[in-house]
Amino acid sequence: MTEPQLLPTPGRRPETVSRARRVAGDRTEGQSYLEVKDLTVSFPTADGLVGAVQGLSYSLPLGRTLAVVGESGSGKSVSSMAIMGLHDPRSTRMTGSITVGGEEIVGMTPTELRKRRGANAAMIFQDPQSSLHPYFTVGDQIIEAYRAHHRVSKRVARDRAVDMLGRVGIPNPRRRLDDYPHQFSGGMRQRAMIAMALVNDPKLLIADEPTTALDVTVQAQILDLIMELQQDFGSAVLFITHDLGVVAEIADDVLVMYGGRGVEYGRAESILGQPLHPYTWGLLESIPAVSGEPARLHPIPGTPPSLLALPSGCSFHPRCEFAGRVPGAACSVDLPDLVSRTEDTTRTSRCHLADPAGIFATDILPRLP
Amino acid sequence: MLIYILRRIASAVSVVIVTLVASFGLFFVAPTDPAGTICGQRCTPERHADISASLNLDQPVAQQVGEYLKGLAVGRTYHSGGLTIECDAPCLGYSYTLGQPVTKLIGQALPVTVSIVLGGAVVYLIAGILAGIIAARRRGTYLDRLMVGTSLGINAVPYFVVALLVSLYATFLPHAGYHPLLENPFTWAAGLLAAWLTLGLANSASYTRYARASMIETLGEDYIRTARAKGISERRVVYRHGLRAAITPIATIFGLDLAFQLTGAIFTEAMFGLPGLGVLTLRAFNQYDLPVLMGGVLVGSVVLVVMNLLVDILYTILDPRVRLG
Amino acid sequence: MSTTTDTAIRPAPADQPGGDGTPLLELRDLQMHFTARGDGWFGRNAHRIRAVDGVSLQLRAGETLGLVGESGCGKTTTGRLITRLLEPTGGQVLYQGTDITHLKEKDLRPYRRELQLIFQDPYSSLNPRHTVGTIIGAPLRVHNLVPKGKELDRVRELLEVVGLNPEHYNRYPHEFSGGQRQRIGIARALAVQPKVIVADEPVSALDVSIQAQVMNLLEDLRKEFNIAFVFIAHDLGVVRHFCDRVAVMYLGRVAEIADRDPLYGTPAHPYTQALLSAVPDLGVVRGAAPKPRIRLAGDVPGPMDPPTGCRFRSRCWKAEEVCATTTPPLLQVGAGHAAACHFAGSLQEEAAA
Ligand SMILES: Nc1ncnc2c1ncn2[C@@H]1O[C@H](COP(=O)(O)OP(=O)(O)OP(=O)(O)O)[C@@H](O)[C@H]1O
Ligand SMILES: Nc1ncnc2c1ncn2[C@@H]1O[C@H](COP(=O)(O)OP(=O)(O)O)[C@@H](O)[C@H]1O
Ligand code: SF4
Ligand code: SF4
Ligand SMILES: [Mg+2]
Ligand SMILES: [Mg+2]
Repeated sequence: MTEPQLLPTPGRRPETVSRARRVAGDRTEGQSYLEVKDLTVSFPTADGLVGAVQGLSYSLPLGRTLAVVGESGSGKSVSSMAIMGLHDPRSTRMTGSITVGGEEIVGMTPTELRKRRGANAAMIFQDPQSSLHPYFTVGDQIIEAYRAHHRVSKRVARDRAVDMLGRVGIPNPRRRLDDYPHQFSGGMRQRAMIAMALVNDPKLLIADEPTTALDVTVQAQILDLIMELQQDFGSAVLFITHDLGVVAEIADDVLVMYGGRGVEYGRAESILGQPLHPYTWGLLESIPAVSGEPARLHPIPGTPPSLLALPSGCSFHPRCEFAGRVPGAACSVDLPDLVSRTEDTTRTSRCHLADPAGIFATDILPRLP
Repeated sequence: MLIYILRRIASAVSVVIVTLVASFGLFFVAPTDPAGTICGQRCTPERHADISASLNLDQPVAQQVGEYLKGLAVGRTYHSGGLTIECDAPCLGYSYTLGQPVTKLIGQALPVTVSIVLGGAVVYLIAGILAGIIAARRRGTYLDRLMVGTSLGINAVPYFVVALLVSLYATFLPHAGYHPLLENPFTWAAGLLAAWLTLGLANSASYTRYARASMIETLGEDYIRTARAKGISERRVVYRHGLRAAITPIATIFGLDLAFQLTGAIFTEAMFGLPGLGVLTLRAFNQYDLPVLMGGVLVGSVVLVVMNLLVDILYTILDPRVRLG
Repeated sequence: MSTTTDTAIRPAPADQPGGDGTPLLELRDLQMHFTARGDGWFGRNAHRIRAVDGVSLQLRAGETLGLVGESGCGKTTTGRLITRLLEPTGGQVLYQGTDITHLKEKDLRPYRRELQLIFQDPYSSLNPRHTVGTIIGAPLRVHNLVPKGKELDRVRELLEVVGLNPEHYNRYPHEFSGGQRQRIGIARALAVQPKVIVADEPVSALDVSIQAQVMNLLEDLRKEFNIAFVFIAHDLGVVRHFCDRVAVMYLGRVAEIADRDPLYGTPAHPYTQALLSAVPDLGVVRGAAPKPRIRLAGDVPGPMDPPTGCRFRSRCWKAEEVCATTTPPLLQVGAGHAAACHFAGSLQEEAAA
């Protein structure tokens, strides 16, 4: 009946994938496609200034996947929308610098921004149901995205759309092109969104929780698809999620955000294997895993901070179990810098702890499964 | 789809028949004396009986309804005071006060009302929706507040005042009057311009607010963000993606408004001396001209039912999700 | 873990003689077919939605049974049937041996007290116009559980039990965060001292750190009050953490049911195997053995016209002809471990190998 789909691949993101990525990355060694420096995004509201993103910096070369993780409200979406230039300049204050392919985004005129949106960088969103226009056919929407950046006839654009739909694994693409989004299933809608985002060969793909609204079996399909397409297109992927399991599956690098700031950055293996920031550690301790011996969860106490009144000093200090280990009241007074505190200079963390690796290694790691 | 439409038409027809029978009951079986009212103060018993007979008031209600329906289908003949009047199908009765078949009266009045209402609708739809979109895009600015304030202000003023103001101040407009479209489109339009402006101005105020609300909601949708992320122009985002979705709820309101106005734009007709359906029914009401009133009710219910049907069909065209099959 | 949760002392099947033989709650071939109103004025094109289509389960006192499965497979509907918020269109619900399937609202009242529901959405499930005190106090009043005047004391006590400030009884739901609201919902359920709590995705809407807080709370409560849980979730990690037994549902039916360890360790049903292998697993980064990678094609078909025979066959890579013609019964593949697949036994060996 059905073809066997049991893939004999041995477990984790096959090593071959990562290695292939490294190669793609090497071509642009040392030179990032996306560079965010000291980005601040705030919204004036009736209750005061909401500082959604504060002093965020990171870089992302072609061929690599950076996962941005954090709880809801930590500024993941706001920072990625800033890269796309999707914030309304009338109600948003933005400072710092974002360069995409060497071009500065902050301060660009709306028209210049528009020309780059969807061409250099494209985005897919969390809920494929509400992100596609219910009144236009899927094909219509993909064709529009292509013709926004290519002066081609409808026919050529249509062929391109059929191509893309086939590419993202929709069977019978020529026929399905004229379907409306409600005639697609949830997974197919997200595939269509991906086809629409990649139709212009963008060098940067931003995926904002693209699988959160999907079932696990469909999520697995979509994650596979994104990784496969990334290899084919050699693009940089900024993947936003709150699911550390997903991070383990797809990320090369990880940026952990808390209260609008980056608090830890580094290679996925090292961050997930040996966190250096108490918040990252807390997140990892909070997750009930599907393998290993089930143990009592170790939640982070308290609730995420209000962006209207961030705690002084390290904004994590009211919830941090390790604040007491820092001499004096540094945690509640001084904001730590995001700097490297170990020999591994690719890792940075924003914490006053003198030797986090030591503390976690002796006190904490035994508790991780 | 076809079966759906047929079924809707069948139910529409039954609604019209029920309305017809019900209003028959109310008008003709009411404990009033319509024949006496028509007859006037110096009424002789013979004349009273004569009028009663010509209105079929002396027959049982069921038979009256039957006669009426038969008249609709094949026409009927009236005998009144020795006179014989042929009323051709579709016969809606004969107006003694005007001395004309009702069908002919309505046939003259309906085009006037339709011209006024459709022309006015073009004005208020375009003006209202455009203003609504502009206000929605500039939400929270002074322009937005000014537009919402103005719209509320216009709505607060009684309609006849609006009409009065238009006729007093817009003196540059051609003299109001009805000239059939087919005779001369220019004189037709010129004569109706003042009425269109009045109807348009008054209604565009409400439509500005409907459109603004609908547009604000739509512009907050995720798919609008998707459209922006594609890099298409803001105008295209608003007018293609936004308007397409925002228009659907407006279409529903519009269908019902239109149906209501088509049954007679009484003020507009009266203020500008246009002989439309509203004026005709109002006169019939005052003079107790039952056949004309009945005709008005019938036309009104047909218009309502047809508009409802059109709105539903329009909906399935606008929103692919309710499209069948 | 409390002693009641160990598999060793789980009572034998219900038909065996001996004291505690009857399960606390039993579902027998439960069905819920909704009739969706069709198009047109008279709903001519009405169709049946087989949301739950033959589910049999047992729940013992103090036990936690997990219900997992993809969206739309009938988890919530099953939960609502258990608490009799819905009346089943077929089958039976037995509570302590009493058939409550078609009881009238009046006769249901004593059972309503013992069967409580916690909802997924901490935002919409609390009335925004009532104070927390009123919300938690309502079931106390309805069931006449505390003497007049003592109500507030009990509310305070309950708030304390779920880890909220007892002096906050006068506040409104919007003054609390998502996790705190979920605690309020839990306090409301606890107020009537239920024997069974059906928790419908109680932590799905919460951030991971908050989710862990609420999970720990539920675990403490269950030990302290010996409450049996039907724990509905789509997160397999969460279910593994909380439940003694787990039932995997697919399109309105139970595909596999087993104790936790056999279910996660040696799943027998192809769907369970695929589901488990699809979960992104953090453990792997830290050296846990990698799982097989099974990728299912396509999405779950709708419950309007499920495939004939085995419901999973449209996505199953093991499907053979018999799967289209014969509905597989729940086959015993181990102690307390059953799977609805014609080839369950052999597949389990494969998985274990
Ligand atoms: N009142 C109803 N009328 C019609 N169909 C219904 C009704 N309630 C539920 N359904 C349908 O029954 C099926 C099962 O629904 P249910 O809510 O139990 O799923 P679920 O497993 O809880 O899914 P989720 O994980 O999304 O919460 C779905 O297809 C749903 O659309
Ligand atoms: N347009 C806006 N006006 C005011 N506040 C906003 C706006 N957009 C986002 N925020 C706030 O910014 C914070 C970060 O939001 P977001 O980036 O969406 O979080 P997440 O990390 O969950 O994606 C949130 O507290 C959100 O409420
Ligand atoms: S700086 Fe202090 S409060 Fe902040 S994370 Fe480090 S130890 Fe905790
Ligand atoms: S019965 Fe057949 S189709 Fe169903 S799960 Fe087993 S092998 Fe697959
Ligand atoms: Mg977000
Ligand atoms: Mg549910």
